[in-house]
Amino acid sequence: MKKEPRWPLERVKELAKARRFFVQRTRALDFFPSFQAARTAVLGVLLELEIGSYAHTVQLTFDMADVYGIRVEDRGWYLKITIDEQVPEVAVISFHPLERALKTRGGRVTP
Amino acid sequence: MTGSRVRKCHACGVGEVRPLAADGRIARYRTLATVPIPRDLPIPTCSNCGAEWLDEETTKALDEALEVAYRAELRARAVQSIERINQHAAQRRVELLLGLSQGYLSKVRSGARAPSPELVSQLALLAGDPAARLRELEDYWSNPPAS
Repeated sequence: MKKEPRWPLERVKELAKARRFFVQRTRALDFFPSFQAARTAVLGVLLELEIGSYAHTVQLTFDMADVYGIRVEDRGWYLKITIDEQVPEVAVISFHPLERALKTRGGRVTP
Repeated sequence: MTGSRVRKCHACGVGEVRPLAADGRIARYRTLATVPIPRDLPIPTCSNCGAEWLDEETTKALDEALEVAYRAELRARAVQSIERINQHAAQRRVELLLGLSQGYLSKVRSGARAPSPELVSQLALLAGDPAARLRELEDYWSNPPAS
């Protein structure tokens, strides 16, 4: 049986649609001309997420986070998200170009 | 969504994320590799690992502040380049070569016009070696393009 994301995609998209997502500021955001541009890109990716992009779930200190490999404009991107239902919101822990190939349910996503 | 609420940090799982105003923070913004973030602008920051988190409100405030700093830096750089170029050529000649209207560079210097990053880039290239670059530009506009 194929593994499922810890956080249902429907819930991720529901929160994203309501603009309820929190993005960790990392150097990866330097790929975008502004923070708003980065946030818009993250929003687009969250809204378009498909089960085929799901790679695996990782255990963090207290959370579980889902990892996805996505192709955006001919480039592979790494996305790691969790949901904080206490807020509620999607926490985007990582969003950056892939450094190495990532195996997803839909196949390998390359950098 | 509000940037003022306390959240737990999903980067370390330990700290609390609270709005924090601090000195010494920088960001890349548009063409500039480093733009200082105003010290009084709070960014949700983890009390344990220092991770910064951006919600919609913080993102908007951050970009607005960075845009102001960016425009000021563009103007400062443009003025610096214009002054350097002016030591080698009449300002009107430079305006003609760059396709600018008469008096445009004076308006940039006085702050009446905000220079685009494209213009600041062109001025920076000219200011690197004004005599040589202006001669090249004169030649370029005087002759058909090389095939």
